[in-house]
Amino acid sequence: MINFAIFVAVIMFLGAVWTVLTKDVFRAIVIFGIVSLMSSVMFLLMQAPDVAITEAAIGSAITTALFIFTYKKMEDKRDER
Amino acid sequence: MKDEKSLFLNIVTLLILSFMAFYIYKVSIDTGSGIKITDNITPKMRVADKYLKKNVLDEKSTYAFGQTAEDTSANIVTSVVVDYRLFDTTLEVIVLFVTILGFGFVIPKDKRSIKKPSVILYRWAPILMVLMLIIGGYMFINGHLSPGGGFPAGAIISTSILIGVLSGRKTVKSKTLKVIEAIAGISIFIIGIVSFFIKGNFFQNFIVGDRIGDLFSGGLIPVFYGLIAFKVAAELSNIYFEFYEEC
Repeated sequence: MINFAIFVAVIMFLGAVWTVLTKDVFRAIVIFGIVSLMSSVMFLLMQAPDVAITEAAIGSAITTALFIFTYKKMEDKRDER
Repeated sequence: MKDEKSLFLNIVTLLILSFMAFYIYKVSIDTGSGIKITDNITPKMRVADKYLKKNVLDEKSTYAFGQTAEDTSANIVTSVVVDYRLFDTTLEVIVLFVTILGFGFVIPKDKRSIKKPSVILYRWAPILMVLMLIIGGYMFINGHLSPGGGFPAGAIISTSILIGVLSGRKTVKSKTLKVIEAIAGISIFIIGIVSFFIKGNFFQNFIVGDRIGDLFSGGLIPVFYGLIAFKVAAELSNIYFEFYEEC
């Protein structure tokens, strides 16, 4: 179990660094969703299923959807200019 | 019901829903002679050991069941969150409400219209929506027995409306969502005031004496969780309609 937790933590760390460093905004949003999903797995491994459910629903689904909606809206504004 | 395919989808959806409703009905009237999986007369047969001891870390702890708040809820986290700290969740919901008020001011009013999506997404969206609604309903109905609760249940229910927005289907009107949100928000505080007059404390659980481990036990906990779930779902669904036109 500890090996799996370390694997998840490494993915979270690399994803967080990639989110900050990448130039493409859309790619950053998608990788941020992956980081949220991995943190949900991490909550489950740390015996907190309530928080894991909330993180999986809000962090990885709704936040990603709202970021993508905002990105689309920014693209519309850029096309108008 | 425009063509045969959507008629077929509606029939499948109705079958799934009626099966779930039948199952919930059977479980709710179960007195030990209906669906009999185990002998559920003693509480140890209905609820897990860790929940009965009200202590996860200490193996040898015993809990004496009196008529206090956390007796009828099998899930220890839920009994703490709803019976003692409901102010936290209520104020969280109010913070979310203020956030959505701010959305209306900040976001410019030109809404995107929804393009027609691919056939696969368009046809599969109702089935996915029904599955998300079932999971969300399970979360707040079963919140006092297993992990879950009002806030994640509302988030999951609003995810089904998100699928409806993405697939370009007609789901709910924005005005209906506002009415649902207002009614749920007022009901939470009305129940709080009623419990103040009955028991003397705001948000105190005044229905005690249920059988631990039943589907409808825990007094006011499922009621509060249902109201919070509908309020959160309506608020989060309003955000999607700030970005996209309702079709």
